[in-house]
Amino acid sequence: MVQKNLERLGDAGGLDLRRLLLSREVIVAAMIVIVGIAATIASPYFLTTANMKNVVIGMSIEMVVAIGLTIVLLSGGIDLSVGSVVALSAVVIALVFDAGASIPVAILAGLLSGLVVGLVNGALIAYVGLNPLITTLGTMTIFRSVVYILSGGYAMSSIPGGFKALANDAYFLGIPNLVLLTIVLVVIFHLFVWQNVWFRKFAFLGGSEMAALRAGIDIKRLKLAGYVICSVLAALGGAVVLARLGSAFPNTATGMELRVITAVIVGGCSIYGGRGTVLGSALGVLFLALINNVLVLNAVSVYWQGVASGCVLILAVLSDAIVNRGKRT
Amino acid sequence: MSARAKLVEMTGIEKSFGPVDVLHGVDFELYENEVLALLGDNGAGKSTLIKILSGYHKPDAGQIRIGGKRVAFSSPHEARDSGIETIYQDLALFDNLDVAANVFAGKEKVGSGWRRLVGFVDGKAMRSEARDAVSQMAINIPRIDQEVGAFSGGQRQCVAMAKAVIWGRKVVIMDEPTAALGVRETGNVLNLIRTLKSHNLSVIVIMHNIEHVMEVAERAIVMRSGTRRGTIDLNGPKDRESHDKIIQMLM
Repeated sequence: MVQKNLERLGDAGGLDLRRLLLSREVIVAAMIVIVGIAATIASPYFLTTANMKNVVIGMSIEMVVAIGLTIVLLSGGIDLSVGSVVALSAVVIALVFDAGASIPVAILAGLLSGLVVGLVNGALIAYVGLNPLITTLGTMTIFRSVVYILSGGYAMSSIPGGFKALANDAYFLGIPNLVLLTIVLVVIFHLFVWQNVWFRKFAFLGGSEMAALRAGIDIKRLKLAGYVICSVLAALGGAVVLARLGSAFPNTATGMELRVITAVIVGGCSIYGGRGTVLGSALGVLFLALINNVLVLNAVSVYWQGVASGCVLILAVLSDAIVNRGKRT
Repeated sequence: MSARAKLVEMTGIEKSFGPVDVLHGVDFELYENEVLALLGDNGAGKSTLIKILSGYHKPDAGQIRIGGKRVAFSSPHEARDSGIETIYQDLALFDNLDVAANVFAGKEKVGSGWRRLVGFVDGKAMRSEARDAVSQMAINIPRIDQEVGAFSGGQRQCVAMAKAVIWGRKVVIMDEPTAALGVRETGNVLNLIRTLKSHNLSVIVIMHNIEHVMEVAERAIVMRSGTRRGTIDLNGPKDRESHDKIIQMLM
C-alpha cells in the first residue's frame, strides 16, 4: 500500500505544466504580448521609446500601490483608502517643504502620514473587528477631506528641484528612477510574499482565519501589519507622484483605489482572500495600462477607458469561473 | 490491559459553566498506543472533557497527568506542545494552499544559507516531508502540490492527520471524524485511524455511530450527564457482547 501511494504521488518537486500554463500570471503575460503585437500593427507610435516610457512611467505609481493592495487582499481584507493616502502623502510632503525641511525629512513625513492611516485602518479592522470595506471607505473619505483642508484646495508647487530629480533622473541604463524603484519593489515584494516565512502568513490568514488562529498565527497583529504596509507603500507612491508632477494637487489619485483593485483582480488576486501574487498584480496593472494606451493611440476617446477596464475585469473573473468549474471550492 | 502504561490520566475533573454543572468528578485514562472511543449522548460532557484535555477549558477541579507528569494547560498551544493534537470537525485546513503548506502551517521550515538570511522557506524539504507523511497513510493524495480545497473528505482528514504524525504528537483527538462522510470515505477514515495507531500514537475518537466504534476502537468510555458510566474493552466488529454493553450504558 505504501509503495503504491508513493508512486501515485509522483515527484514532489516536479512541475505541473498544465497548471503552470493556466496560472493567472502566464495568462496575463500572454495577453500583454498579444495586445502588444496587435498595438504594434495598429499604430506605428506604439513601439517607440517615447510611448513605452510614457506607459511605464504612467503606471509606476499604481504598481507600487498594487503591491500593498495585493498583501491586503491576500490576507482577506480590502483597502479603499489608498488613493486618499497617495494624495495625503503628496500634500504632507509639499507642506513640509514649505516649512523649509530637507528632502529626507519631507519623505519621512510623507511615509509617516501613511503609517498613521495604516494604523487607524488596521486597529479598527483587526482589533475592533470592523468590516474592512466600510472602515476604509470611511478613512478614504476622511483623509481625502484632510487633503483639501491641509492644502486649502490649491495645488502646492514649491517643490525643490533636487526632489523632482530624485524621481525623474535616470541613474541606471537610462531607466527613470521611479520606474527602477517600482521594478525593484515589485521583485522584492513578490519574492518575499511568495517565499518569506513571515509574509507567507498573509496567505494563511486569507485562506482561513480560524485555521490560522489554530496554527498559532497572531492574526490581529498580522492584519494590522498588512494595512500598515499597504498604506506606507501608498504614501511612497504619493512621494513619487509629487516628485514626478512637481505639484501636489488635492485631487491627486482620485479613483485610483478602484483602478488598482480592478488591476490586481485581473492579475489573479481573489476578492475573498488567500489568492494572489505581487507579480500577477503588477502584470494586471501593466495590462490595463497598455489597453488604455492602445485606445489613446488609436484616437479612441478617453471616455472609453472605463468600458475597456470593466470588460477586462469581468472577462478575467468569467475565465476563472470557467477554468474552475467542477472543482470544489 | 492494565499492563500498559497510562499516557493520559485525568482524575476528578469538575467543570461548570455558570450555574450549569457539566462534569462531576470525571476520571479518564488513555493507554499508550490505544484507540479509545468516547461515547455519550449530547450534553453528556464528552466535548467539555476533551476541550479540557486540549487546553481550551480549564477544569474547576481535578488533575491531568501526561506520561505521569502533572500538567495544567492555559492554552491549546501548551497542550499541543505536550503532544496533544486535536483534529476538529472542520479540520482547520487552508483550502487555498497545498498539502505541504497545510502540514507546516504556522511553523514553516526556513532554508539554509542565504535563504536563512532573508527568511525564505525550504519548500523542497517541506514537500518531501509532507509527502512521506501522507504516503504512509491509508489513503491516496493525488498531488502533494495541489490545493487541499479540491480534496475529498477523507483526503482532507489525511492531511489533518499527517500534521499530527509529522509533529511527533503522542495523542490525537478526533471529534466526529466520520460525521459528514459517505460509506466509502468513512471506511477510508477508519483506515486512517488505524494508520495513526501503527505510528505508535494514541487516538481518542468521539463518535456517535457504534458500528464505527466497534470497527476501530479497542476500548470505549461511556459518559452520561457529566459522569463516567464505565469502560468496556472491545474486540472487533463482531463482539456483540460489548456492543450490547455499550447500548446498555448509553440508555
